[in-house]
Amino acid sequence: MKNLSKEIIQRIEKISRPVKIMHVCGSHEHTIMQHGIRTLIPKEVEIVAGPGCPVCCVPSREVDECLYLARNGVTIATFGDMLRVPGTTGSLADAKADGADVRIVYGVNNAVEMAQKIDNEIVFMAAGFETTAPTTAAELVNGPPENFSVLSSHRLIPPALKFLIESGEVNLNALIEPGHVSTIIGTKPYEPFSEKYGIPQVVAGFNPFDVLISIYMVLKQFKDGKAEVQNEYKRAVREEGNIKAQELLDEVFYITSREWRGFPTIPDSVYEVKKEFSNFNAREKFDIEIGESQPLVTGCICGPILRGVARPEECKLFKTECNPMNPVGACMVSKEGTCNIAFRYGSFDPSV
Amino acid sequence: MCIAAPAQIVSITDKVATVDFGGVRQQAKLDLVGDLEVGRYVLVHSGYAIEVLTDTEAKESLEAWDELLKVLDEEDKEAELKSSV
Ligand code: SF4
Ligand code: SF4
Repeated sequence: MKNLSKEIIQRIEKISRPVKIMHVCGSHEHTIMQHGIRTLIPKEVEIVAGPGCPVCCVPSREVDECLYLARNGVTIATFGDMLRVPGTTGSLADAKADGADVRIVYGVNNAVEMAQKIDNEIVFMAAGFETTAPTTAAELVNGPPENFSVLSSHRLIPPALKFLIESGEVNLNALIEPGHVSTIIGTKPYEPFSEKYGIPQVVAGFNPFDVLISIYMVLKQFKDGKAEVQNEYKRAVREEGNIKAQELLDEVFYITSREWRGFPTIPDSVYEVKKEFSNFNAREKFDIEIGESQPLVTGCICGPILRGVARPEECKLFKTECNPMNPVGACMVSKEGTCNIAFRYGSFDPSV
Repeated sequence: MCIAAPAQIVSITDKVATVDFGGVRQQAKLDLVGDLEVGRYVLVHSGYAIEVLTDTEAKESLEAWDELLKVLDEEDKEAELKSSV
């Protein structure tokens, strides 16, 4: 095992050049930090983390919508990581402590099963990128019980990448694309970034070898004067993606513009439930009344971290007031959040 | 959150498969991948199979990465040949 990574690192060193590569996946950040990949490659090859965790990217406003429902007697079902994500007036965990019915599920199918067993209205807070959105679509097409609906926070990765590239704030030169998002959408949606902006891209798997080889492939594109989308994760990503899943997404969702945590409104970046399924859209079913949302807790720099322009170490609250036991911001809550990962692996030194 | 892992189908009832992750068994719905036979490998995410894998793909063997590096080296050689002509 060791030899292969050494071999790849040697190749990287041979064609190294100053470059900023962004990835947008919590699982990639996890692999990179767990194996100390940033310390294994030349310093001039900079790897920055973007908006890679669908839980962190849910803005306060959407948490507020859930809080409103939870505090008005609706049962909320969602992924465990969502519970402590801060909204304007607390989190779902706070609402639960105050007596609201908030339940953790491992997937939308668990929430549907729950709805079959209880009479109360149950809303699935649907976080997740393109990887997860088809599972929600499949349940709606299969006809869930009447007391079931979803509050969609499903988001699309390519529009966020476009926003990041065009804003110019991070100055990224290359992209490592998220493997499991690509399993669904394929490699085509990334092509404009290479064609229009000359950005080399590699779709990558989650093993340390995958990440190292992808870094090498990016550098090799620079060396060869290329800018294209290459697929390192062929074992799970076909060029066309998962067509069946894409058809389900088209059937159930339309695409709309909404803000992300740390971002203003990103055009065409969120899946919302189509009219045909509005009986199962919590936003249509209930009159949700929320006031102005407060985007971030004072002192927390999740915004710049999600945009790839700051690291957790630059936050004054990091490791002191803010830690996984007592998270202040969203990036510390989720196990795929950049702050949470930095807290757990930050002291990793591969030479020891 | 949307971590996905390869698993092998051990049985299927009504579009729901029981899958085996090297000892740990779980249910996975097949709506996103269509009809499959017992024995096939799938990538499972959040209670659903999201892609079908071949046996070798599922096993993540070291040879696959070696192979990929070789392909990249071939490219290099070809490029060198071309530029030297
Ligand atoms: S696998 Fe998908 S959801 Fe999970 S961190 Fe990567 S992009 Fe995000
Ligand atoms: S360390 Fe905590 S407070 Fe600081 S940016 Fe990260 S989540 Fe926010």
